[in-house]
Amino acid sequence: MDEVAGGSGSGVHRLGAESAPFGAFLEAAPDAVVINPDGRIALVNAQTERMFGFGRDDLLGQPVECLLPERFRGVHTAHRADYGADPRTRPMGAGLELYGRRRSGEEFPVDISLSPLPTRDGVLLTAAIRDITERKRAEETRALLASVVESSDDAITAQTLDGTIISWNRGAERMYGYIAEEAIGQSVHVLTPDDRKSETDELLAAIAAGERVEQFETVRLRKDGMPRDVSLTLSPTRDSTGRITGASVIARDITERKRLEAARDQFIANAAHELRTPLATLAGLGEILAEHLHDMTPEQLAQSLAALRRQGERASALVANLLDLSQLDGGRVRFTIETVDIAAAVRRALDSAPPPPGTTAEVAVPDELAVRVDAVRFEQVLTNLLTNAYRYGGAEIRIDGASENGTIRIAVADNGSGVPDELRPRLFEVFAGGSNAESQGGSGIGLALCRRLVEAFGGDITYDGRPPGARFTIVLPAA
Amino acid sequence: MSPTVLVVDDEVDLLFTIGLSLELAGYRVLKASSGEEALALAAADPPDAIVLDLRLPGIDGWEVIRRLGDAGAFPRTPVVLLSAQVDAATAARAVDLGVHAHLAKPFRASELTGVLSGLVNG
Repeated sequence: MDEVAGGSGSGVHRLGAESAPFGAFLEAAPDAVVINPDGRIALVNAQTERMFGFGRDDLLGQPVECLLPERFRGVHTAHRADYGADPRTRPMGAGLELYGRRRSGEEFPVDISLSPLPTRDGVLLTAAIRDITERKRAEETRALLASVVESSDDAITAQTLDGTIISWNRGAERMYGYIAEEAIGQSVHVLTPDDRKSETDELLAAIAAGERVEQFETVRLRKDGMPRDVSLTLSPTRDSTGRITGASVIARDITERKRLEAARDQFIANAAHELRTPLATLAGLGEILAEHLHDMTPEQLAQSLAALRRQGERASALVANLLDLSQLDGGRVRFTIETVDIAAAVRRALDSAPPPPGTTAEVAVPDELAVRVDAVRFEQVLTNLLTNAYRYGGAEIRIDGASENGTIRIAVADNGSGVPDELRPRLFEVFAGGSNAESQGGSGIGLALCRRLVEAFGGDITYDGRPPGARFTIVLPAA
Repeated sequence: MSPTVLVVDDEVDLLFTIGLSLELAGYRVLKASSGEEALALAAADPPDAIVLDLRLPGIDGWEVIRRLGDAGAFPRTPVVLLSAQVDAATAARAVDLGVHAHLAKPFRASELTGVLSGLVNG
C-alpha cells in the first residue's frame, strides 16, 4: 500500500497480483499505461512497450513524462495535476496535437484517452495511448488531395447518377460563377444550355455504364448566362463495394483556346484570300502564254510579262511579310541595332523599290538625321510605306525628314485619295482591310508589320489623313 | 461581229489578264475597274455578257446587278460573277438573283471562256 502510493516497482507487482482479471484485461488491451496519482508509471502492457521501444522495467516507477517529447513535459505535469482534481473519462488534450516520444527520440502523433481507475489503493489513472501516425498520414494525404482539388483552375465537381451536384471546388466557383453552397444539391442541368440537355443525359448514361469520358468538348452556361467552351473529363465514382455512385467531372475552360483557334483560322483564311488575287493573274497569264504565245501581239506580250512580274513580286512580298510577322509574334527576331542615317536608308529603300513609271518620289531629308534601329528592318518599313504609296496613292510621293526635341520624324506622303474612312480605325492591324481587302488590293499585312517593327525600335507610326492624300509618319528617338 | 463582253475588276493586272484571255478567244472586250464605270459602259455600249467581280470599291457587284436589273439589262444580259471564295451564302444569293454563272478566283482562263461560250450565242 505504501509502496503503491510511493509509485515503486513493487507496487505495480502488487496491483497485478491482487487484481489478476484486470491485469489480464489490461495486457490484452491494445495500448495502455496505468499511472499512479503522483504521475509515476504503475503498469504498462506489451503493446506500450513495443510502441515506445522501452522495456517494462525501464518504465515502471518513472514519471509518465518520460514518454513525452521534452518540450511538453512541463505543461503536462501541470495538466496532470488538474486532472487529478477532477478525474473522469475523457479524451486528453481535446483539440490539441499530442505527441509521444520513443526511446530512440523519435516523436509520433498519439491519441490518448484517460480514465480514472479506482483501486483499493486509491484512484489510479489509465491512459489508453494510440499511435496515430498512419491515420495522420492518411489525413495529410486527404488534405493534400483536397487542396490540390481546391487550388485547381479546372472546375472539379462530383455528381450523383441522377445528375445532382454533390461536390464543387473553387475552380468550379470561378468558372461557373456559382459558389459551392449554391451549386451543391442542384442538377447539372443548370449548367447545360437547352440544346445540350440530351447530351448531358448521354454522358450520365455512359458513366452509369462504367465508361470514362475524356476531353469531351461542349458548352456550359455560367450563372450570368454567358456560355463557356469547356473540355470535360468524366470518371465513374464508386462506393466501397465497387458500385457506381456517380461521376467526378473535371472541366477545363477552353473558351480562350477556341477564340485563338478561330483567330488563327481567320488569319489563315485572310492570308489565303490575299494570295488569291496575285495568283489569279499569275495562273491566268501562265495559261494564256502557254496556249497563245504565238497569237499574241508584241504589246500584249510585253504587258503580260510586266503584269506577271508585278504580281509575282506582290505574292513574294506578301509571303515575306507573313513570315516576318509570325516571327515577330513568336519573339524569334534578333535585331542588330545600330546608328542608321535616315537619308541613306531612304535612298537604299528607293533603290530596292523604285517608283513605277508615271510616279515620282521626292526626297526632302536633311543630312545627319540618324536613329538607332536595325538597318535592314528599318529599310523594310520604308519599302512597305513606299510600295503602299505606289499601289494606292497618287502619282506624287514625298519623303520628309525632320528633327525636333530629340525625336526624328520621317513621313511618306502622297497626293492620292488617302485611306478610306472605314479602314482608318484598324489601319495598322493585321488584315484590317477585312472584307475590303480584296477591293483595296491591300496586303493587309504591310502596315501591321511596319508598326510592330517601329514599336520594337521604341518609336511609333501614325496615319495623318489630312487632304490631299495619305501621310504616314514614323517617330523615333534621335540617335 | 464578235460578241462583246464587259469585264469588271478593280485589280488592274487581273482585269488585263481576263480581258486578254477573252480577246484571244475572239471576244470584243470592254473593261471597267469600278461598279459605276461598269454601269456607264453597259448603258453606252450594251454588252452580250458581263464578267463581274463581286468586291469592288464603291458600289459592289451585288449593287451593280441590282442597278442592271433596274435598267432592264439584267437578267437579259448574262452575268458571270467572280468572287474570292464561293461560300454557301454567296452561292445561294447568286442563284436567288438569277446570276448565270459563278466562278471562284483563281479560275482557269479556259473555264471562263467555256462558261461564256455557253451563255453567249456568238
